Amino acid sequence: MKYLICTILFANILFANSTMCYKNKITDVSTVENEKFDGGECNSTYSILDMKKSGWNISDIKISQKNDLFNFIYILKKDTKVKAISNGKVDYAKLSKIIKEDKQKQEDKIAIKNGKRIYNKNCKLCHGLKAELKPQNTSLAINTFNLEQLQDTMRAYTWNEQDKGFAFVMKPYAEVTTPTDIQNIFKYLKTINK
Amino acid sequence: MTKMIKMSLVAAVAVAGFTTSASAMDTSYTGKLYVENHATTVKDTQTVTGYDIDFDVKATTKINDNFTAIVGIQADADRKDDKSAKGKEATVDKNGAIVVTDKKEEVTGSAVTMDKANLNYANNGFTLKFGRQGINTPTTDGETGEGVLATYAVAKGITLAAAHFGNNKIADTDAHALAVLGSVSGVNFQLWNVGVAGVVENNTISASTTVEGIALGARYAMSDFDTAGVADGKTAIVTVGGKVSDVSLSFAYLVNGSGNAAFTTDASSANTAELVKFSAQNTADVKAFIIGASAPVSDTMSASLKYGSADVGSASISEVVAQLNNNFAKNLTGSVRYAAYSGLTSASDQTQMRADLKYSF
Repeated sequence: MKYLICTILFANILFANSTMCYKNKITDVSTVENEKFDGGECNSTYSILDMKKSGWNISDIKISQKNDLFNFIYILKKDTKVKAISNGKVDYAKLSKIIKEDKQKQEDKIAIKNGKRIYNKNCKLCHGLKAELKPQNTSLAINTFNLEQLQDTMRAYTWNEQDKGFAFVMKPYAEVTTPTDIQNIFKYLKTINK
Repeated sequence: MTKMIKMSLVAAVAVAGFTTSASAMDTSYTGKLYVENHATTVKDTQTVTGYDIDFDVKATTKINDNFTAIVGIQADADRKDDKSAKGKEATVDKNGAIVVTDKKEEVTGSAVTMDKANLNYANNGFTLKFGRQGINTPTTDGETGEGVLATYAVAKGITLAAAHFGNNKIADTDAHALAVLGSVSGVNFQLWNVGVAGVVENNTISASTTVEGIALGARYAMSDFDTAGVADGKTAIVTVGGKVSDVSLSFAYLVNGSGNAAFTTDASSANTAELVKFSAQNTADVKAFIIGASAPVSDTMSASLKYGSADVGSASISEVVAQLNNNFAKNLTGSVRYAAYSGLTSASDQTQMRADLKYSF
């Protein structure tokens, strides 16, 4: 009885997230875990080794072969230890919150990666490595912007409502940057300017 | 067996997932609704009242990291009630008979146009816009055209631009633009060559910098008109701007050549100057200045006052414009404006009142 009470008080619920990643037409099986996998949390961005480093464990692997090419499907699981037992009952609200937070962290990770890619491709040359520059000395450093300022400014460029002399240069980039891109860029800039 | 079934299901989901992500499009919609009510009184007697309504909406679809497609629709409606339109007017009907009717007091109009339809590419400092778009140069102010615009950032702060339009609203001929825009040692500069075949060739140079918080700018534009007997045009503009406490101050001085002014397609173009009725556009032998001040009145409201005066040959014009702006909500703004214009002759003197609201989404 004493043992049971201790278990209820201190036990962790082991909650498992799972995801599935795949890669087709692999020629060299020995280096498969270095390849960027598609689907699920791998999202054409992470290799199996990357996933392992992020705390994912391999749960299952399916391999099929056609001619000399191999198709791989990995089932990966990640355990989240949750103190979600209170007075002998599972605290589902707490459990739900932690699951949501975990999902948000994964989404943020992908958003930051996408934001970094777009920023480095289209913004870095004029705005600087950490968005610290003031292009043409007329614009503000965008690392000081909050998300709303960034969204409003980009929108203004696309509608010809913002011009300090060099809107002609900025407008083409504003027009290819979607609201989702802007959010991702903002998250990336916050990460590198902490 | 169970495992194999599960794995087949997993594989099916994988294929479905891949297909979905390949075809999924990120489309966003933005737009604005502008409603204006105005009253213009010419020489204290003839009053024209009316409204203008503009509704613009634009859909932007991200095709992938490098390409987007943009389609924009513009819908305009306006109405003018001309109280001075008293009396009769005569027209000829299809049978050749003369018909006398009352003059119309009310004139209405509306139009829906697709003002944007273009594909955009942007990657590592190179951008390309292909299709229907606004043509933004110092001589034009967003006139619609169909063609291609490319920009390339050759180095930090230096951008090259080239554009060609086969169909445009400037003239029924081809138009082109070449430009270098950049910044060297704190001085921003722009060099432009804009041509409209058979009409004009325009070259513009502008420079600007900021010294001790004071913004200084200079612009010189030259136009070589193709029409025989039309003198070359020249326009020079210097600007100064700064802030004293919360008050923003601005000053602009413009000189048009004695034979002709540099070519512009719109009074809002960068190579000229305007207020409400006051304009220095495409007029020879003009010396003009515009002085302005603006300041916040409250957290949501600001006020501005502008005065413009110009000598046109031996005559002069002037205008004073007062405006109150208010932000009613993040995406809802409004203004009230009063303008009093004194023209070349007393018959062209006029005052204008305007109230407007703009909603953006």
